[in-house]
Amino acid sequence: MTQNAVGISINAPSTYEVVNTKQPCFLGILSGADSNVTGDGTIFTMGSGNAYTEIVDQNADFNTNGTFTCPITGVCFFCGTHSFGGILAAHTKVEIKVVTSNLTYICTRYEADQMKNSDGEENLSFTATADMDAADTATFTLTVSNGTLVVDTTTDSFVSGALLV
Amino acid sequence: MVTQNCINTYSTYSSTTGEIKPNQPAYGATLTNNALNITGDGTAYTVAGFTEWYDIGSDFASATGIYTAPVDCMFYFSGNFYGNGGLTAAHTKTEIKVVTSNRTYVNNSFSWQFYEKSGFGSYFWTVIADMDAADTATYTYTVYNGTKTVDLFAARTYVQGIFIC
Repeated sequence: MTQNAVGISINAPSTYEVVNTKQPCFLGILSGADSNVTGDGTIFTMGSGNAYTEIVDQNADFNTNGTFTCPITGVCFFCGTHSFGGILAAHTKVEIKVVTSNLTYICTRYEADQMKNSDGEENLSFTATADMDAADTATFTLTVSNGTLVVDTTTDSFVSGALLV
Repeated sequence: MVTQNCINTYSTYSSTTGEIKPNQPAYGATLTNNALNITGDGTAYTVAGFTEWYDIGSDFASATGIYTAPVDCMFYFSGNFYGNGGLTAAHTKTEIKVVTSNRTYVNNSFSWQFYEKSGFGSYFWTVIADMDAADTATYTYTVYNGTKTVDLFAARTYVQGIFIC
């Protein structure tokens, strides 16, 4: 067990796992669907409409508006799924990006209309490992292009992340 | 530096290797045999029958595909499902889910039509999930709107996980 003046940070039970209850780590699920947020090339930041519901937010670095702020310089890992619907034949491009202060990661890029399921929806996963400086931020965007502004987000969307090292 | 309790070493650190946690749960496994005619008609197939690459902590049951969390934790799951054969024009909706005791993540939903011309295709998924001690996680693969002719290809279907904190 390791602790500082504030509290226990690392604990190893008899089964030997290293449990760190202070390690920055979060999981948020979109609280509600957002209507007509992209489709015409509009870059929509997930959480900027309906907020995320925090399931876990160790160290309180994740804002429900979809912004993670890195508490120290390190390497962070982000992953999740953006779920969206209302895709039409004209929507021939979708991009999912992780936008950090240092770099923008284009994690997923597809032809949206070819990927949509029989309900006109898509759930697409993304992942990025990012170098972050202290106080750097990360947000998560969805952009559907070449059609009209009719694409909606759905509550299957979630985002998660952790400070790795 | 070696950090240990009375039973076992759980963390080592050196200037050259950084920190190593030899008992931190992690697993990786590939499907042992091709899974034939498992879905296509809306059947939710729980992917099982794996050959382990590694299973630190012995928390992954390869026969059933069930991971059981040893303690409360945040756990990272990822993998790739490779659809190989049996896909037809009728299969217009696919879902890949991580089903945990706390919630179900619809990681992917799309149409195999993007791949159908060749009859195969693959997609990855990823999430950091909140797990309580003894919670379980499984992985399901569902293809809809056609006949039950869809397969998973063993050599390119795999699951992985690692204990984050």
